[in-house]
Amino acid sequence: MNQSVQLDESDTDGVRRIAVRGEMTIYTAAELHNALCRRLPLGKATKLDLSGVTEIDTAGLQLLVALQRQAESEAVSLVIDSQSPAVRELAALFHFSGVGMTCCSGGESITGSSVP
Amino acid sequence: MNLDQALSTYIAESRGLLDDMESILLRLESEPGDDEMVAALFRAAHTIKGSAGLFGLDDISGFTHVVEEVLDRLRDGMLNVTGDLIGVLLSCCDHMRNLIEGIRGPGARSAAEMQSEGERLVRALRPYLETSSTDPDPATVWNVRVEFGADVLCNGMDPSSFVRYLATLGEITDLSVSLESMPALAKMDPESCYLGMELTIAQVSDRKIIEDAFEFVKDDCSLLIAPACGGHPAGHGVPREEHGARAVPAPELQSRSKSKEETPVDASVENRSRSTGARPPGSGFLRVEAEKLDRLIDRVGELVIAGASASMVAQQLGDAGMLEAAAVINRLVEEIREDALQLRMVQIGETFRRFHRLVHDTARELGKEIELEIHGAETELDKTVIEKIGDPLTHLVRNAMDHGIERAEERARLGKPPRGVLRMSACHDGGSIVIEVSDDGAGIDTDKLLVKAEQRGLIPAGAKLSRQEILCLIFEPGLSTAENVSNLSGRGVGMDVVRRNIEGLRGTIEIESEAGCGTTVRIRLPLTLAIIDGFLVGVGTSRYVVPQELVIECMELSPADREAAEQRKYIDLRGEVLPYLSLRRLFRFEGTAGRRENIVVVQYGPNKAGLVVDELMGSVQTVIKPLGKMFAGVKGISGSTILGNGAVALILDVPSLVQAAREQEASEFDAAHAV
Repeated sequence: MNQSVQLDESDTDGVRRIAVRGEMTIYTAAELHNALCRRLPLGKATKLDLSGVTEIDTAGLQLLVALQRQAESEAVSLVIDSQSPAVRELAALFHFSGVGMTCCSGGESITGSSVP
Repeated sequence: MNLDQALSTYIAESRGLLDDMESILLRLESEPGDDEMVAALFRAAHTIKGSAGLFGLDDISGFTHVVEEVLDRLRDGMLNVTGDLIGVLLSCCDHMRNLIEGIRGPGARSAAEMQSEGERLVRALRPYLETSSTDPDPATVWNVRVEFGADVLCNGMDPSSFVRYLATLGEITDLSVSLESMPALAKMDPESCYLGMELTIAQVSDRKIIEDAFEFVKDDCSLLIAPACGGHPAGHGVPREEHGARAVPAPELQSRSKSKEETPVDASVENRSRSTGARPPGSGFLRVEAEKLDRLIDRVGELVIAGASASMVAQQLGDAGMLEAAAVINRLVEEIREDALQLRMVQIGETFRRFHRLVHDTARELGKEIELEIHGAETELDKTVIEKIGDPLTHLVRNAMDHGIERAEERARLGKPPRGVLRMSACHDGGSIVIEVSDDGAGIDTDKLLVKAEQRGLIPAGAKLSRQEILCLIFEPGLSTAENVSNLSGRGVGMDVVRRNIEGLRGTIEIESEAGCGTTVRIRLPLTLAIIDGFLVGVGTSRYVVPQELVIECMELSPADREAAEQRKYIDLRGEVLPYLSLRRLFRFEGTAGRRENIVVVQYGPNKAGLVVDELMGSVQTVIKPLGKMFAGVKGISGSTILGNGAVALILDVPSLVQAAREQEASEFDAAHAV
């Protein structure tokens, strides 16, 4: 039940890029949480690539919000670089706007802008 | 992932609920006005809808929603039970069943067909929703505030699925999430739920509908539902926080719920027992895949063979300790075998009850009044047998309704009660189960049957047959006494197929009928198809197994007796005439028997016969292996088994042997008298 998520990290021009691949669900939440905590503090601007997320539920969403708050508390930027349809669908479902999660310019927003 | 498993559970559960709904609907027709039953009906539909919503099965929850609303009105006494309504609701159950069976892959019908069927039914239901249109509840826009408990996620619930489900009930015009109680990333428990949300939903007629959507987390969340201002367009309920809002207190919502007389629904303090009562009645039962059971029984079969081989070796070695150990193991294996087979035993009642529906529908179609009586529903038999008797029973039931039971006018003319009775019963008899399908209809016209059989050349013209023999002609291919071929039966296929199916299960079928009084078809089946207690006998070097429950006694056949028997063509069993067969002759063994032979007296149904064999070798546990197709035509053998020493023994088909012995004796008798 636990090899279904993977974090890949790369670093270009002082910007850290974290790519999540696989499930961000209650089944992988503990593992994902561990992996994220190992990278704390963030320390610098971070881009989050969620294009490889196959499935996401409330547990995954909570982690994203927590990560966002972490960035805020460290006063570094955290942007979602790209997101998979699963992420987009959940964000739309929750009319996601209240968490202040925005993207870099030109990127798509995780906010509820796509909500009908 | 677990979802797949949960879905399987949902499918199985829904099947059960639909069965319940169907049987309630059928009962409701005869006893309308039973509030309990209507309430149960509503609950079943409600559960199906609710779970479908959780799985995102929108077509199911959408359709069931309409059904549920009709049932709701029925429950509130706004509708009356009519035959038409029952008919529509039964069709709805069928449709729901098709939808649910379609989850696992495309069913027999195409998606377009399903959709048009669904639309047709919704149209048919609409009139029931429109009568007496004084809808007392004008509020259609609701503000909902929900805080989920910490364990919700771990319990397999995902708040997002509730939102998805709500979206199918009405239009969510506004929604905001709060995660204010969530600690910082490093301190949070990733498996706890910190989520709360507020939403405004429009086009929902009843608070209860929203409440019910949260049924599954009722004990694990706090829920507040308040009507937004009646005619307001949506979106005014809760001010939408656009930026940086972590905490979203909703003063407006709170004040409104206080200012109005509405009592907020706090689900967590509601009675817990209700939610446990709504759960499937499964505590103490375990759903197990049938395949696993089959595998277990296969294994036990192998164990039986291996155990037999071990005790055979022990016997050869003659070691006392070894023998004792082998005996203990054998006893245990026998017990395990019993237990394992018991696992697969199911009550026949469920199969019987399915016929309520068939009888109901067919009776309507035929314009007859027919009541189904069920007896011995608790009789148990092997699941594999049960699965295979459905079709033959359907044939018999249809036959009885179509040809047996007369129309009400006809019955009245004959002085019978206008309502015909169809009876299905089951009971155990020795090692078999006896299933009867009987009706109080016209019975079989033997004269007509005889004429038909002669026309078809099934019997020579002018043949003299006993009544029983004439009745048995009905099982011959291409014979039917029905004058009209209906779409139900009467095409002359059927009874022969029924007989073949039953014989394929090592069973027999017989028929009794009295003109004017009715017909009874009696099916006799072995309880299990897998493992039996066998009695091992030898002829020459070959070994045969007789199912032990059919063996009455064994006797020695002395040379003197043998001679006498050969002259008489029967054995004198303490003054009783016992027809017999010599297996040596039947299976054409070369050579002659030893000086001493033995007789195994077997009984099948009411008939006894003797089987003459060389040796009696005692009882063995026998795992039945089917014979290959090549041997399908061999008379007198029903299967094979492997003995402890690896040798193959053939299992004797006692019913056919008893029959053969009786025929042989009868023909000898006729021959003797003809001279």
